[in-house]
Amino acid sequence: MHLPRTVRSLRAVVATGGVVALAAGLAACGSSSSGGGGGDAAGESITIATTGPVPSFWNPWDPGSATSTFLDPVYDTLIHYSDGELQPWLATSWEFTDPNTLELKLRDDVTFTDGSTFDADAVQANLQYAIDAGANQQDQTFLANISGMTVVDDTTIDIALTQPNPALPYDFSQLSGYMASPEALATEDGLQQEPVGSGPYLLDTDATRPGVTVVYKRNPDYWAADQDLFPFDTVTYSIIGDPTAAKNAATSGQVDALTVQPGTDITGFEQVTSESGDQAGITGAWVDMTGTVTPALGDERVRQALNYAVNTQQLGEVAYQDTAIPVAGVPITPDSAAYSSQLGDLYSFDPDKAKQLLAEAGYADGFDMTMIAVPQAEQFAQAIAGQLADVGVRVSVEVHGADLVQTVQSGAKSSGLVLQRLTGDAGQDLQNAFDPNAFFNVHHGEATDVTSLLTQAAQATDESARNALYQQAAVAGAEQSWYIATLVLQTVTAYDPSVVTVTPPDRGAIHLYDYQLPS
Amino acid sequence: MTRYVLRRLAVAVPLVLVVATISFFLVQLVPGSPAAAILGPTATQDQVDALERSLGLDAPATTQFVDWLTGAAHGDLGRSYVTGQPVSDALSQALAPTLSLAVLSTLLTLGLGLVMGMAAAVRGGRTDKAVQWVGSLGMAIPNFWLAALLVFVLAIELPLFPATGYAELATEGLGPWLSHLVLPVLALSAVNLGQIAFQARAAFADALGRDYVRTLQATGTPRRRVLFKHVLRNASVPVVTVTGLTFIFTLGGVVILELIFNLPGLGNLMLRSVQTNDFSVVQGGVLYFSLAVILVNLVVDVATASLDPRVRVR
Repeated sequence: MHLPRTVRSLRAVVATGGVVALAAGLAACGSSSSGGGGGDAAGESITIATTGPVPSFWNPWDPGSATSTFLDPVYDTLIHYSDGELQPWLATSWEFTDPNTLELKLRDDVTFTDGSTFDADAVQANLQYAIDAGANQQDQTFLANISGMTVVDDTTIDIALTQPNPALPYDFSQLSGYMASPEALATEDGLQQEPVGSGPYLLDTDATRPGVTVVYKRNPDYWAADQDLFPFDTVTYSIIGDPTAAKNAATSGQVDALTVQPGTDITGFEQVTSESGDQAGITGAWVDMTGTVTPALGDERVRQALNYAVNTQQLGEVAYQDTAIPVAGVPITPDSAAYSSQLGDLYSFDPDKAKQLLAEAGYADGFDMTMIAVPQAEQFAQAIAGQLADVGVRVSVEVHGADLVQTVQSGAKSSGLVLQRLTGDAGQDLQNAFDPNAFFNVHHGEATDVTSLLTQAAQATDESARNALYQQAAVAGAEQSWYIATLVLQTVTAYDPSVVTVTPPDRGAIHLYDYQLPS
Repeated sequence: MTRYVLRRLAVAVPLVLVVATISFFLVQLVPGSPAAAILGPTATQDQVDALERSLGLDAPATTQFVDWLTGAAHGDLGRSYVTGQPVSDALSQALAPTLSLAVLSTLLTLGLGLVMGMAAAVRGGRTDKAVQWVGSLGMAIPNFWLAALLVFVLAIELPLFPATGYAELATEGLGPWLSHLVLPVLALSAVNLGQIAFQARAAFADALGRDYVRTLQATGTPRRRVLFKHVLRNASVPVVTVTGLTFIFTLGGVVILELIFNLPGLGNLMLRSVQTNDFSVVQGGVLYFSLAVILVNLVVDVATASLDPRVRVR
């Protein structure tokens, strides 16, 4: 039964050789297929990894629509924002003809992919649609301020405001500035399955796999093709939910750029940290400032005590390395025009002061409260709870996922972790933070001194006077202590420098035009 | 054999119906509205209500179920609430990577497991110990850890295979398809290999001790013929059963590996759909999984029956 040793050896050699040959063949196929990161394509294609969210609709004005990540390739904004300045795009110029009227001058050579013309009527149709449909919350502040629109001629539109909003041109460089075809907007499901814009790319529906990859190919009729602002022929967004898988894809050359967690190192990739992009926002815990659920929290001294009790700096270093910026309960960082030294002096870690404030408010023995968190933020919530326990405040952390919205809206919880995206405009970010109708502010608490100062700031025509009012509003907001353990998070973008150079703006979204070929 | 298959199929139909019904109403109990999840926390109640109406979610659950079942009977599982894609398209696209992974892994583990089990039983001694050692090691190593190790060594340090992703067989060809599956198949097979090898070893050892083997050897039948014609057939029955079970567990348990390798398979799709309350896809996915389980069980039954005719008359 046993075969001669030589025959067995020969068999082993042949078998081993076969396996090696098969592996080498597969590897060769693998490298040719997986090198789609674009690095070998003479800079003509780029693959960007993103965690989503997956686009549900292609109407830029619908809540639940794609984020700017997916809208950028197919829609143009009225204005661009780069190098810290607003730049003309669909709008060639803009001017406040009086504090309550913004006049936009528009290009006359742009058509949408369905053949309809971009003009002042199209801008009016978009903004009117947004007002009628109650667009994304980020847009609602400025939408509510629009009292009317006048189409002066094909390339001129006047937007009348109920109150001055100096940030409006900046808004038009963000989500609020995307212009969709008015004809598609007028159709009930015109933008459900496919985008109809005037952008530099077209959605490649054949190559796109919903929830897996979204592929765009160059728009051959793009009106600004000669400006070389979009150097890649193909743009692929690879939706990778797991950060480790995204990192592995980048390391092995399948992805050229991605947002990474702080502290992630990818061999051969460069990194840039910015207060713009997907991860930029303010995190921390909102508290029931009306005292409806937990009466103690209705007392400003108690809320301030909570802020003194938490070592926010330490929490930030542990959770986000050195990329999170501790702030005093308001979304204002030291490099903001709304920052003042008075703000910087608030809420340094001081448990003794926290106990003193609690005692003054009649809560020397502490009190009980609940804090809700999404599963990903549970550890952060537990860390806050642990530090509050040291001053006698007993926090019960509740984790909610799919039912988070209902839980918040039930109005039965004392506090919860929040991640609020930032627009980068101090006035708007403060307004959003202290809005009586904010998502978490279910009992409609009001900070009248803050909103009054913001209103005055909006009406100020002098920039330094406006910034001074913003500074006062920021301090007033911080002293109200609606939020505790607040950190401004930054986005860390990693990219393969042989394929692309990413230059994020100092605020707002990182747009596709911030991705350029390496110089 | 035909009657046997028809009998098994007749049992399968009501089973699918029961699974579909239970899963539909269980999904209804999940907290949170799909419309609210799609629109996000910034949407107003009016917008949520409008989307619920357009998705047909405002109808009573029984009406939704009858509509869904009627559609399903005609091959229409509806559309994804989130992407608008037909559910059957989404599932079919996701089925290919998962099935590729499960089938390749099963073929690999079955082939290697049989060889290892047979070698251990026939040769004993060091070979047996080596097989037990390798099988135990495979079962002891968590597959997500092995996956990470394989990616590090064979995709990053030695860039032999892609670290993530999937290449479609039809459009990109055999090479890219296989190369994308090598690492996940290896990670998935490690655990299953031990199970099948141990089962095969026990089955072969049992069969080798039977009287008919001694009789065949006494009559001068060549050992190779005894092993491959007689022993292999008899020992295969329990191995096939275990392989079927392994395949089913593999289908349900690939989620973590699909995440690690970013494979756009059923596990990834189901996880994403659950997270976004995309119940139409979840419902369709449950139906696909139950059909797959029934089909695999049928294949195992038929294979067992063809190997062991006594099964057909039970």
